[in-house]
Amino acid sequence: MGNLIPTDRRYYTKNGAHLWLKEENGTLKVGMDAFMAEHAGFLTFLTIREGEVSGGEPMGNFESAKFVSRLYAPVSGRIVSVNREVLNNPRKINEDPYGSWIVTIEAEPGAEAFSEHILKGEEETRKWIKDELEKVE
Amino acid sequence: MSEKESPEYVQISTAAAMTLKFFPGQFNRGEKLRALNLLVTYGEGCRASCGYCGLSRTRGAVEDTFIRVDWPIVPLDETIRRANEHGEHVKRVCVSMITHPKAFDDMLTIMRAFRDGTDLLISGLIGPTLIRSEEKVEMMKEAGADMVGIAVDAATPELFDKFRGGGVGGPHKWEHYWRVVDWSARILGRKKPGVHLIVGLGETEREMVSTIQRADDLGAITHLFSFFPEAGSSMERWSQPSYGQYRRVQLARYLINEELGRYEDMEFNEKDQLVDFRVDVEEVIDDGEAFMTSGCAGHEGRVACNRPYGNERPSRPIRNYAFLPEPSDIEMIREQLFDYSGRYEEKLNEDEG
Repeated sequence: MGNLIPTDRRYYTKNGAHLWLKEENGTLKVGMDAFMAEHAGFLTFLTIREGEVSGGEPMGNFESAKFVSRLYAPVSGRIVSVNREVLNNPRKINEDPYGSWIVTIEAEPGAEAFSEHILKGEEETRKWIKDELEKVE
Repeated sequence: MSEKESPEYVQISTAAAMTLKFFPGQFNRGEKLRALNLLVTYGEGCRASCGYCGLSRTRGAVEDTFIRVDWPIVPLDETIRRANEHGEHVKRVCVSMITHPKAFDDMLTIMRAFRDGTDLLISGLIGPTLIRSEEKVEMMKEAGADMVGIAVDAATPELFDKFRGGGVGGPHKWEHYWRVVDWSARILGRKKPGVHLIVGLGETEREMVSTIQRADDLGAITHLFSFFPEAGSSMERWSQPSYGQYRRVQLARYLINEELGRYEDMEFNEKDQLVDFRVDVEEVIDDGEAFMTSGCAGHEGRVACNRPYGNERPSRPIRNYAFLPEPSDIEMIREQLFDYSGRYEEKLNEDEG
């Protein structure tokens, strides 16, 4: 798994989402994983709806020259910051998916713990990415 | 001057780069590319100055795009190797000239390399300004091309001159382009040349449909493109044509190329919009093929040059379908087709809010 899916963070998978989540200073940093960055191709547009978000509901879109998809909020809560650098140059996600966070979210209490679509633990994550890779082979 | 020049190097479309795994990425809705589009490439670029073109020598853009996307420069031998390794869905390769003195000879060299190194069918997208005799069409045939594309682009002689000829200090001549269409049909056979036409350069629907009929009468099929404003080109602030205009021209093209209808029988309103195709189009609309990309065919006769998302961002409604439209697509196409006043675009803009 190594560089493709680092295990120092968790992953959100609903509706085919490939988002990573990392807790920092009481908020959740959210970005796109390397699998989706590769699948979508060089990203050209990224839009984010700021403010309150509901877990599993769209919080934005991402688009490359030939691919488009929604970006789903992994938890309910409030977007407290958006990475403007990535928003202005989404290709940074292709260049460094795990260094290019997209938003930070202040999650509602317990929101993360109750999301069945956030993978728990290394073994579950390993199985998920193995299945995902098999789908595209 | 760039050292990466043809024939050792070629420029390939983003779609081709993705398919051959030079670039990451998949196509929306799981589509696959069926024809590789290649350009000859030179450090000094194209010597023409067409007003709408991303390759124009007068373009002041900071972006290095053509028809909306990046075209990376890659080695020809590696492209052929990857076409054999990754091109299981690819049926054809199209080698495009630009207006440059080396372009014709290098196009032939690249065609021969594909002929000898792959099983792909070969097209040449030729620049008639550099094709001064029928013998050159024969040379392309000998190099392996069974079809050619001729980018007339503009639907009338006036628009052609304005955007490609004297109006922009360019070298291209309308009558010569049609002469090369005629040569190509006689040498390669009927329906073997494809005339490229861009909808949305200021022509009326009547003018465009009339030109499609002219091409068909000469023995050429027609490949339609929707104008896209290239950043930095002199037309960067122009709008794309309405979906209504594009759909009606698509349907007329299909009827004419399939010999189901003729321009002279079709009826236009006072704005020269097509209001009656004078044949029963209901089944044709429901079938959906009329709204698919028109382009050079594969062995089985199905369009190979499918250019997925070539005319619009993938987040916008599709203009040329690379796949057979589904029932929900047909419902939208019907709404677009019978919209004569831009209501569809207004609704689209409202939805995007």
